[in-house]
This record gives sequence, C-alpha cells and structure tokens, in this order.
Amino acid sequence: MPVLTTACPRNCYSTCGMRVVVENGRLRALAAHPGNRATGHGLCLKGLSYIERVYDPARLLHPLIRAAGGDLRRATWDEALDLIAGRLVAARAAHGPRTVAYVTGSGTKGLLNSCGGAFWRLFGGCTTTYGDLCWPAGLEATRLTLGENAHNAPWDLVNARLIVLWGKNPAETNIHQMDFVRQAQAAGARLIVIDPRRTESAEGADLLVQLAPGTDGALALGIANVLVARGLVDREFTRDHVHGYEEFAAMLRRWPPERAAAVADVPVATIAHLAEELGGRRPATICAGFGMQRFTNSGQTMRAIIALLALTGNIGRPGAGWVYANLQTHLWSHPKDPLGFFPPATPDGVTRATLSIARLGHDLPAQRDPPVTVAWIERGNPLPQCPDAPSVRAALRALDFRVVIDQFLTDTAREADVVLPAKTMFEQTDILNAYWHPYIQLKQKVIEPPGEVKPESEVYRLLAGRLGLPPAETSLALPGPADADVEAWLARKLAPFPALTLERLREGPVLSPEFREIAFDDLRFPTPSGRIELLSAQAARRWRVAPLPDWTEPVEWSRRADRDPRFPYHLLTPNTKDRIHSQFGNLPSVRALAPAPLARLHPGDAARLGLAEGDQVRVFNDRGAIEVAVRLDGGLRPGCVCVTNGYWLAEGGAVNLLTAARETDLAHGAAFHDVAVGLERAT
Amino acid sequence: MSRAVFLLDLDRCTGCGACALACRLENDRPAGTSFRHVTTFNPSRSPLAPVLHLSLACNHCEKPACLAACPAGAYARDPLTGAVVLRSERCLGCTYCAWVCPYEAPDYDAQAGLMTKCTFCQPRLERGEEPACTQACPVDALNFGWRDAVACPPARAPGLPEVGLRPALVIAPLRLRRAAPPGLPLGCAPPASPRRTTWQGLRTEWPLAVFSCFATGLVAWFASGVLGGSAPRPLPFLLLAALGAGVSVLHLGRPWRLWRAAANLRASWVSREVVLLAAFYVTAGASLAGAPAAPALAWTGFALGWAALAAMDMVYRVPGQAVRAVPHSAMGTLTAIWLTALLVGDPAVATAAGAVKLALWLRRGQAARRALRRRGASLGAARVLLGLVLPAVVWAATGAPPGWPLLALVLAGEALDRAEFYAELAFLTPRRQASRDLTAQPFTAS
Repeated sequence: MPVLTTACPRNCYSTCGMRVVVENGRLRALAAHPGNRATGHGLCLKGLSYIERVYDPARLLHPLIRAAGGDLRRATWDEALDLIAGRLVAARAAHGPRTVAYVTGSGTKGLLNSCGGAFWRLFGGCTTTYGDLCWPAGLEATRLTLGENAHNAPWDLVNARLIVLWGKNPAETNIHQMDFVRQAQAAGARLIVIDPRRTESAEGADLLVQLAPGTDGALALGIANVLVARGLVDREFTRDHVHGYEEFAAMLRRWPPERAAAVADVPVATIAHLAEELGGRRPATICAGFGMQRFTNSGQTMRAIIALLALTGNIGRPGAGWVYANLQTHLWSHPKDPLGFFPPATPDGVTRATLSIARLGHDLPAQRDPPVTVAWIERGNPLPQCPDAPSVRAALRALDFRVVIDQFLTDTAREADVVLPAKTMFEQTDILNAYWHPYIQLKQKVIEPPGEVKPESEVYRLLAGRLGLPPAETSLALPGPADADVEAWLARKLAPFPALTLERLREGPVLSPEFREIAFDDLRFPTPSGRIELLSAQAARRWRVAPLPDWTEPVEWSRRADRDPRFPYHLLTPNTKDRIHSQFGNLPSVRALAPAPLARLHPGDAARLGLAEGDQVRVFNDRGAIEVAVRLDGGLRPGCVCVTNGYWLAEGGAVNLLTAARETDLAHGAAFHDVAVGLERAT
Repeated sequence: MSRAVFLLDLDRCTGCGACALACRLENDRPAGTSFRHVTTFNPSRSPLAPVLHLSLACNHCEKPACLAACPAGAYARDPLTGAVVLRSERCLGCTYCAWVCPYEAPDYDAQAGLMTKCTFCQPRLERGEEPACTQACPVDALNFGWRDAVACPPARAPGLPEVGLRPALVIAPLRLRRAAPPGLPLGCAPPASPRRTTWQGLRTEWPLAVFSCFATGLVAWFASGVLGGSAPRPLPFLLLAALGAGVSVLHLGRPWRLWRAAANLRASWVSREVVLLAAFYVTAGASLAGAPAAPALAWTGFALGWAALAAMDMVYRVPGQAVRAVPHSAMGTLTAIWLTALLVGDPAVATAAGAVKLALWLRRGQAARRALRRRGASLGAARVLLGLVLPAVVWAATGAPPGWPLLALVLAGEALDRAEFYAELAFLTPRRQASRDLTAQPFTAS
C-alpha cells in the first residue's frame, strides 16, 4: 500500500506533516510525518478524524441550488455554473463588478487559494474584506515593536529557563508545543501561566495568575514598573537595541504595581513575583496566545507584553523570545504581515477592500456605489464565526444572490442560493506555509475527489469560460484541470526558491529558505529605527494610539464603572482541542466527545444564580442570547462565563450571537472578547 | 519473563483523546466507542486537587480478573507478549468479565452480542510495530515497552483502581509542582460522562434478578420438603425452574452458546453456579418426580441447591464494589434460609435469619436510602414492614408460622429486596475510583 507525504492545511499552530496510507483509492490510515521536528510525535484528535471527515455521509458531493420552494436541491454542475454565470453577468451589468463581495475565511491554507483573487480581477473586480478575525492586533504589535513576525524554532523552547504561557493554552490549541514545555521543565525551567481560566496547560505550572479578562496590558505595565524600579532591566541591551526606553520608563511611573494589581485583580505580590522571575531567570520565552489580543485595547496590550522581553534582554537568544507568530515560511505573501490585511493605501481601481471582516454584517449593507448584491463565500463559515452573527445573517439574507463553497452544509451554506461541493485536503495538491514551525510542506493529492467534487481552481476555470474571460490571461492565472497542470502551476511558484522542489517536498517537510533557528540573533530589527521600538511613531500615525504601550479599559467590559448592570459577567469564547473554529464538530468522533455547547461557570457564581451542574442557563445581552447547559468549573475565574466557540447555530450555541462587531485598536482585528453578558436560569 | 506494558506519564498527558480515536480507527469500532478511554480526574477542577487524565485500555493484568471470571474460558494469555486475549468465538456475551474488571476494559458490543476488548494490537506487535494508541500519542505521554514481569511496580495514580490484579501498566506519577489556585473546597457534582458502564443495574440485569429469585425460592421450597415440611409437587417445581432458567438466558448476547458456560469450573463462580444449579434442578426434579422415598437423592439435591446459591452469591462478590454483595440482605443463601425456616415453621432459625436480614438492610445505609429515594420510600418501607416485620409479629402473636397469604407478602418483599440489590450494585470503575479519591480527605496526589 502506498504511503504518501502530505500536511494538514487547517488554521492551526501545528500544521502537522502527515503520512497517509491509501488502499484501492481510499484513505486507510494517517500518522504524523517524522520529518517535521515540531509535530513528529503524533497527530491530534482532529487530524486522526480526517478519514471520517472525507467519507462522512453528510459531506456535500454535488452542487445544490435553491429551488423555487426554498429548499436546496441537487443540481448538475452545468445547471449550477450556468445559473451563477447568468447572475454574475446580470449583477455586473446592473451595478458593475464590485457589486460582488468575495469573502474568504481561514478554512484551508494553500497557494492555490490565490486563484479566487485572480479570477475576480479578470471578472473586472470585486469587493473584498480587510482585517482578519484571528490575530492581526498581535501581529501588528509585533511588527511595530520587532519589525517582523518571526520567532525561534519551536524546539528551541527546551532551552528556556522560564516559560510564560500568556493567554495561550497549547494543551488544546498547539498540543505539540506541550512536548517542548515539558522537556524544558524536566531540565529545570519554571512554567508560569497567565489566564483567567485554569486551563489544561496550567496543570503542572509553577504559578497560575488568573487575572481579570482584558487586563493583560495593565499587568504587563505593572511588571515593567517593578523591573525598572528594582533595577532588573538589562540596561546594556536596552541601551544598544531598544528605541524609547527612557520614555517608556518615565511613563511607567504611572503604573505602580498597586494600580496594575487593582486593574487586573491580582495580588500586588504576584506582580512583584512575576517581575522577579522575568528579571532574574534568563533566558525567558513568552508564548502568547490569541485571546488577549481580541479586545478593543489589545494591540497596545501586546506591545506592553513584548516590552517585558525587551527590558530583560530576552530577544535574539536561544531559549528566549516572543513566540507569537513565526512567518518565516510566508514566502509568497507580504513579508511583513499583517500589512496584507490592511485596506490598500492606494486602491488599484479593480478590487475595493471596504468590508471590515470584524463588522461584516454592518459593512455589507452599508456599501454604496455600487451596493453589494452578490456574495461569493469560500473557505469560511462567517455566519456563526464573525462577530454579531445576527447582523451577518441579516446582511446575507438582504443580498440578491449568494454562492457558498464548502464540504458540509454549514450555517452559512444553508443561506446560499448555490452551494458548490469543496475538495478536502486529500484531493488537490498544494503548498502550505505555517505560522509556528519553519517548514514548507506539500499537501498532496492522494485520492480522487468523491462524487462530483471539483477543486475551487477548476470551478473558477469553468466559470471563466462561461463568462467569456480572456482565455490567455485565464490560463496564466489558473491551473488547468489535470494534476500535472496543478503541479506545473505550483512549480512556477517554487521556481524562485531552489531548495524547494516538488520532488523534495514529496519526501517530507523542507525548512524554509528564510529559516533562522534563533530569530533576531543578529539583533537587527527591521523597524524604522533598526531597534526594538517601545516608542513607535508608526503606531501613533497609523492607528492613533499612544506611541508607547499603554492600557485602556476595553469598550465593553464587565468591570467598567459605567457598565450595564444587566450584564455583570464577562464572556470568554476560547477554542478547544476538538475543533478548529467551526470545523470538525459535525463529525461523529468529535460529537461523541463534546455533543453540545456548555456554559462553564464558577460554582460560586452558579450557586448565587441557583444553578447546578446540567441546568439550562440563558446567556444574554443586547445583541442576542443562547441557552446552554451549565458545567461547573472550579478553575474558572469568578465573574466569567466560558462557552467555547465553533458550535453552529444549528447546534444552538454559536457564541457570536452575543459578540459585538468591533475592531481591535490595531490592525482591524475582531474584538471578540469585549463581551459582557447576563445569566439567568432558562425557562 | 518479559511482558508488554503500557507506560503512562501523568505529567505529560493532556487528555487530548488521540489515543482513544487511534484505537477506534485501528479496530474499526463505531464512533463514540473504543477499547481505550480517557478518564479525567477532577473534571470540575476543584482547587484542592490536580486535574489529570488516565488513558486506559486493557491492562493485560498478570492476574486478570476477566480470565478467572469468564465461565466460557473465552480469555487466554498470549505466551509471547503476555497479552490477555479474548477468543470471541467462545464468548457467551454474559458481560461478567465487564463486572469484575475495574478498568472497564471489556466492552459489550450489543450488536454482535459479544464482549470486545483491547488486543494489545497483536497484529501490529507481530509486525514489530507498537500499538496504535501509543504510536498516536502527540505528546509522548502514552508509550509501550517491555518490562520484567516481576520488577513491574504496582501502578498507582489518583483514580486508578487497585485491587491486586497487577496490571501491565507503568505510571510515571505527577512530579511537577502543581499550581494551587486559591479557592474554597468545592462540592461539585461531577459532570455526566458520555460513557455508560456495561452494568446498568436492573435496566440490563433484570433477567438475572428474576432468575435468582426463582432459584432462591425453589431451593428453599425443596429444602423445606427435605426437612419435613410439605414437599413441592414435581410439575410446578420443574415448570418454575425452567421458567427461571429460561429468563436468565435473555441476558446473554449469544444464548445458544449457554452450554459453554460450564467451561471454567476451575475458577469461575458463574460456571460453578450454572453447573450446580443445573445439577440441583435435575436431582431435585428426579427426587420429587421419580424417587420421593430415596433420602440419598433428596439430600444430594439439598446439598447441591445450597451450593448453587452460595456460588450465585459469590458471582456478585467483586473487589472494590461500593455496596458489598456478600454479605447482603438479599443474598440468595440468606434469603433461602429465611424462607425455609418460615416454610418449615422453625421460629429460632426464622428469627435469626430475619434479624440478620433486617440488620444488613439497615446497614446498607446511605446507598440503600439513596436507592430507596429513587424508587420511592414507600416501596422500601413496604419491603421491611410487610416482608420482615409483619410475618414476625403475626407469628409471635398467633404462635403459628405464617400461612400462604403472609408468605406471598414475604416473597414480594424478598423480590423487592433482590431488585434493589441489582439496582444499587455498582462495580468499581476508574470514574468511581476517581470520585472516591477526590473526596477522600485529605487528598494526596500520589
């Protein structure tokens, strides 16, 4: 039986290299590829469930068209494509090409994803989104401070003597990092976890700091104050490599630990202890998660946390650093992401990027000249996954025509006029980068698409023919239908990098040509000053925030003095080991583990509300409500309620029924976590 | 001798569940089932205890309870690896192995009517590979190795049942300093687990409740005849015996394999129970129908009947059970003594047996009261008042042993007690061990 190399294309830190066994054209077995040093031990639960996913009876294998009666019915490709082409031509004639909104998610990675953008340019243009739901505030904070998003190799973590998991729960979201954390601990490293929840990653930690949500920046500034006051700063490092140290140190006088402790609701002694650890135990690595950069104050928060490493000289050394995003493998996108997420400073006159993804439900109906009348959605399930889901649903329903490409009938697909069946990772070859480890990997076609499934590149090619787009330009932008055509298209992308060939990638993961084991080891930072910038003129100019890191109250926050008394609880909506956002939850294996959404509550809060384990609770605010079962969690910070994200509306638990359509302070991220809610027994 | 073992590092396991899914895929089991299960200790995250995960499949014990208990001799040990293997072609589907295994390794496959369990991935071991579960572990927490059988230290962990079976499991205990978040002791009810135990009390075992009531009554009836009371008439006796035995077969996944149940007389109480009871029915039937005058046959039947009830009682005696089956107010031998004394009209024995029953019933205490509340306190009161107290009072008042109407009440009381016995009996599982260890004061991690 052939054993083939491939890699997982999900939006996940680990981006595992894989080996698959194929028997008679069917997937038989999956295992981790040992050639990926970061993920070689084994696949996670989700990776192992792929066989189930590919052959799930609910998978879409044929196009669907909304029939006159309102139900989706099976259609032929000719029917579906003719309908789409007709509607696109009519919409373009009536309003111009930019009446089409092209909305994509992070459902699958790969270079071929660029085919969509190329197609819409040939169509004459479209309207697209800017910003990103996931991580741009942290990326931009990093770019402003360090110049680019890179970090030490994942396995370098074993050299750390202090590891701080700040808002990160790798045991569930980056399980392969836990191996390195445990190796470091076995060698004597200390582990500190900063999180409102007692997460799985906090088991085995030396210290868990359960701060109030949204106060990470205040905590960091308090720690920085102590570092400066107690002379724990690496003055040689700040003198040579840090821009704005004096200004930052002066500003920190406004952040005595007592103030930070009051804001974050942690003991003053804890702040002093964290400063002593960071100042005295080197090298130190801070592994930052995404949660605390999804607040309205979060870009500044991330800048404040990175500053701790700058003050203590923990950059550019083995075992040290800021492990947030490692874009050393992003060879084909903007080298300094997240710039690619921002609306272009000078629009090219073809596409217009005027939809903030964080405010999708509000921006779609607000478009003028032309209005958006058609949506084309692929690789995403924006209805339950974008903030303020009710507004997204209303905006989609207000359009004239909706096309959705997906593997399953998601909440978003259920709203479509045409649903096209999407390929899985095993059905078209593509090239993957990563954002934690430094490997370029081949996601290889190992089986034929089942049913009538066609890859997106082929959908675009067929549609281009029907729309009469210029054949020469089309065939340049899009690969042909054969596997060899796809490989030739990919080979052209690889051509500038001699180390990367399809032959080598077929053997296993290949280190990126830009790989550096220790990021910034030359202590050169691609910032305007060439140094680590605590003082950033760019931050002030581009984002109108303070040039120094600071902390302000989140816009919607259960601890604000002017908070709405009806909503005294803070809603946390983290990811879990069972899902990547709204993916995987529909599979029987995953459903067996987590069949329904739950509201985790501290037993003290539950007792006050008269709720017991298993009772139904209504979680509500001005935007919406969900009713879910109570799970008592003695490890949750009181005053918080935690409902993991990813459940579909059809499953009754989409947390974005409650979130607000707000951007983060930096970089057009989605401030998912500025959410105050009320709780009451469901009746 | 070298034996294959699982190695589990409690500091490394994050409870991700990849091992259980890899096991399910390897063995082609339906979704939601697997030979390996992850039990979380302290799932409500009480601040006083660590959270840890026990990934357990069959532990291929050195003294396997399943192998000893299986009446059909379906279990065997692989001489090369030491793996305990289930030969499903011999399995009756009686689920007794699932009762006695504290690790919940044998799983009942209702569709096939057979037990299933971890094979230690024999085919993979033969190919020189490691088991699917250990190979899949993404954090190097679950491993596979070979150990000297004698040098294997007993596995200890919070939530891990320890009843002396010597599991092939080497546990690396918690070593990292656990963060102790500030907080008060929490009396959290543990969240419901999606996994069901094979034993579901009366829901699954009602045929056994009926069967054991019949067996107990018939032994007492026959014994009272031998001891000078009125002997049962052969036809109703044999009809009731056939009915009881017939109902009992309903709880087997593969009823037509019943004949295999005698295959493990050497070690299995189920085998002994089946053989002794069959011998009792045959001997007693022969004595009643064919040779009522032959005392040797009658006394042989008498002895076989009591031996069968003793074996029946021993079937339910499993180490680690929360409610002890022996002694128990509803155990067959005790009930049969009580009934025999009533039938024969021996006040001394009846008083003694009734008093022991009442004392055991009261001593069951908490568990019994919980069971009663579930099924209605009136039922429990009726059982005691009508089945035990009323006959005693009547006997004491009138000086005459209870007649048939009162005996009917006694029988109803005994049937109720036996039903309760099945309803409240709970065998040791990792989940039960975990909640037991979590509430033990003071909690100790190792």
